Amino acid sequence: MALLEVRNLQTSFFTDAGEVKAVNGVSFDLERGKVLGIVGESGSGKSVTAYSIMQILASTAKIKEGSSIKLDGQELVGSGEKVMRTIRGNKVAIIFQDPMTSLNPTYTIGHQLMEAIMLHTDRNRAQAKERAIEMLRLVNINEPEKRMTQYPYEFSGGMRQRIVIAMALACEPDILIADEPTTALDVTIQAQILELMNSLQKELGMAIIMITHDLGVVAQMCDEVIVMYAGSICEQGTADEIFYNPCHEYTKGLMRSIPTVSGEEETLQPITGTPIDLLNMPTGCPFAPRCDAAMKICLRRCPENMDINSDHRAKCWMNVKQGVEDGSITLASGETAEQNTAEGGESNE
Amino acid sequence: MSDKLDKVSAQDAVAAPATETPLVEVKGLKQYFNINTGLFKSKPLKAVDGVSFSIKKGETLGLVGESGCGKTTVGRTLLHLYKPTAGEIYYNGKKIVTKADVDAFRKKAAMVFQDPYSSLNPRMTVSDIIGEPLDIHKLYATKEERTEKILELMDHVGLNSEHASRYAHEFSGGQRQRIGIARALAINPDFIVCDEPVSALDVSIQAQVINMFDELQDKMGLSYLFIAHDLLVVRHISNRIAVMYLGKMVELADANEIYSHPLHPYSKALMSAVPVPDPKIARANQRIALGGDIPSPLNAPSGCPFRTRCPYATEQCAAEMPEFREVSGGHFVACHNLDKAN
Ligand SMILES: Nc1ncnc2c1ncn2[C@@H]1O[C@H](COP(=O)(O)OP(=O)(O)O)[C@@H](O)[C@H]1O
Ligand SMILES: Nc1ncnc2c1ncn2[C@@H]1O[C@H](COP(=O)(O)OP(=O)(O)O)[C@@H](O)[C@H]1O
Ligand code: SF4
Ligand SMILES: [Mg+2]
Ligand SMILES: [Mg+2]
Repeated sequence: MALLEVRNLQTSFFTDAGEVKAVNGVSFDLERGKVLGIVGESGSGKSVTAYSIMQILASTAKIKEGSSIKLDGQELVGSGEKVMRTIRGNKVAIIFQDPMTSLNPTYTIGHQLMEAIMLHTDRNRAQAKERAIEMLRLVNINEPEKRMTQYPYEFSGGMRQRIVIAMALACEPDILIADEPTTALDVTIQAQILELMNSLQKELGMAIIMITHDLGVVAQMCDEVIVMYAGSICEQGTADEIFYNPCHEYTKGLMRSIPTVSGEEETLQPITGTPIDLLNMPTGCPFAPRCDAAMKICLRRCPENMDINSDHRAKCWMNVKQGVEDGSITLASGETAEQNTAEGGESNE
Repeated sequence: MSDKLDKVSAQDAVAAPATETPLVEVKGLKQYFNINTGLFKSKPLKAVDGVSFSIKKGETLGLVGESGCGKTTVGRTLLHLYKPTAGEIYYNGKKIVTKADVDAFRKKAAMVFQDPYSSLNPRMTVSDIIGEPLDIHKLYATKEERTEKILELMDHVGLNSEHASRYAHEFSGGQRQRIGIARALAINPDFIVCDEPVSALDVSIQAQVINMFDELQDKMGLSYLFIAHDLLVVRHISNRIAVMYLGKMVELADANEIYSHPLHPYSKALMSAVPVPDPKIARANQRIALGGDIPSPLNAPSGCPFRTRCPYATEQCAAEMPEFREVSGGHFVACHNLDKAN
């Protein structure tokens, strides 16, 4: 059993304009001690996936029937606020792009760290203080005793993010969710924070869900990667599989649109067209309207999740086309590619 | 195919005779802001403190460095949006001195900003936004000519000219950045300061805008000062790259050279910190960790600005600012201890 098992997660916002299916059938496992990356363009549903796990969604949002989120075997969907309070901060902690989301400008850092520790553990004041100082030292804040008495504005952006990490880790969660934790920071500070998260993760053995739009951050940090498009996972696998053997046209497009490490490319190849409108979803593959390789079937039918190998799955008809071409998928006479794939998809479940 | 050929020839033109007059040249540029530090007391904040570089016709000079190091201020001061505290600016070899010189330069130099949301007035239509610089510089004779120019500019940057009467807020981030670029192009400039123009965009949209900058350069022979924090993007678009630290320029070299063989201790740390989109390389990367934080420009250290975080700093580094000198063809560095660092 994986530490976290998300199955068919569907989260919608009910707005005046209609139902916005922000997350639409997301399934994945997170193993203990692993780093899982979630990438995708803005609006693809990365944050809503994370907020659904924490159940910190806006009041207009609803996790729909049939969704399941199991933490250590315990079902979280429908478990109620009382249960969730024992989960948040204790078992699963979250940090945001803007550290001030988690910090109160009117209290000292020490006060806030101690509050968090006392809320989530049974330490007394003195013990909480000791633990807070220990945590500040862990995230490389110099003179932690003195820093305890200072307010958030007395710290730089990078230091604030380190403090928020200290606060999140003070209760030794099993899972740390980091929602674009370094997007607002300079590269050298980003490197510090990522290095810190890496070493703490190894030391404490926790799992991390790293949400980012930066493929460089994913390459550096993640064991496994989920690529999201329009509220669903279009491809998932090990980092090496996703980077060296992308099997969804959107992922391939992402890789082609960024400058390479060698820097030899003459021009970048952008993904054409405009991002998806969740209120006007196409019937077939959600990426089809922007896909240069789109075939007729792509516009008609949404592809099933297909196993590329034991480390890798993708939802893209191109894999079937290639399979037929290289002979790894055989079509029975009179059968269409369409029928064949539908069956292939089922047998993969 | 022809795109590739154009690009090669544009680069050849850049590598052409070293004696060619630069389009824009800056010598010893300084920009100090007066900051109130108490009642009746003020102190100069040295945002830019003696920066020199030149940009050739058709060339892109990338400008990188931590936020607050003075990149935007270099761009704005260069365009005389701020009056320089000190230093000289040359345009086509002619020093800009008088008000008339400044006006003439401004007619040929434009700026594109990072945030396509906040830099455009949401109450203005696309045609108002693009038409404004045309009005300011009186670049048309008749109303029809004005409209024609606006539609032509929209076409140039890949905006549907049927949308001319729409408001900026009706457009996506990438489209708004196109509006900003069309506005910059309205004066038919030969130099554009691009201040983080793609930083706020999703990668796929980023690639569209970067390619547009490339194409416009090839077509119109534009020169860019390109400010960005994504080093792989900067390397992709730039011919040369300059690295700033705390108001000073610490290194300047050919883009690939400075990325793969940085010489200054700060550039070395910066380049090693770039998250590369390749897991095997990224895992093997040895990052150079920098201790401490960047000092405030109000309390800049004496001598070399980097000495408080530099692993190679010596007494000399505190005593005097190292000279920004050419160590090999076109590769400039300011550091006393290059031997130790490399
Ligand atoms: N409070 C909300 N009301 C309505 N729609 C929302 C709300 N929050 C998010 N959404 C929609 O949900 C989708 C996914 O958003 P999000 O998860 O924040 O994207 P990402 O984190 O990948 O950028 C977006 O299309 C967004 O418009
Ligand atoms: N108009 C201004 N008045 C006072 N200080 C300024 C002003 N503009 C910039 N600064 C200061 O100058 C320094 C350089 O800023 P800036 O050029 O914006 O850096 P960058 O673009 O590299 O992030 C910073 O310390 C900033 O706070
Ligand atoms: S001059 Fe000194 S302090 Fe500055 S970078 Fe070189 S060695 Fe380091
Ligand atoms: Mg988000
Ligand atoms: Mg700036």
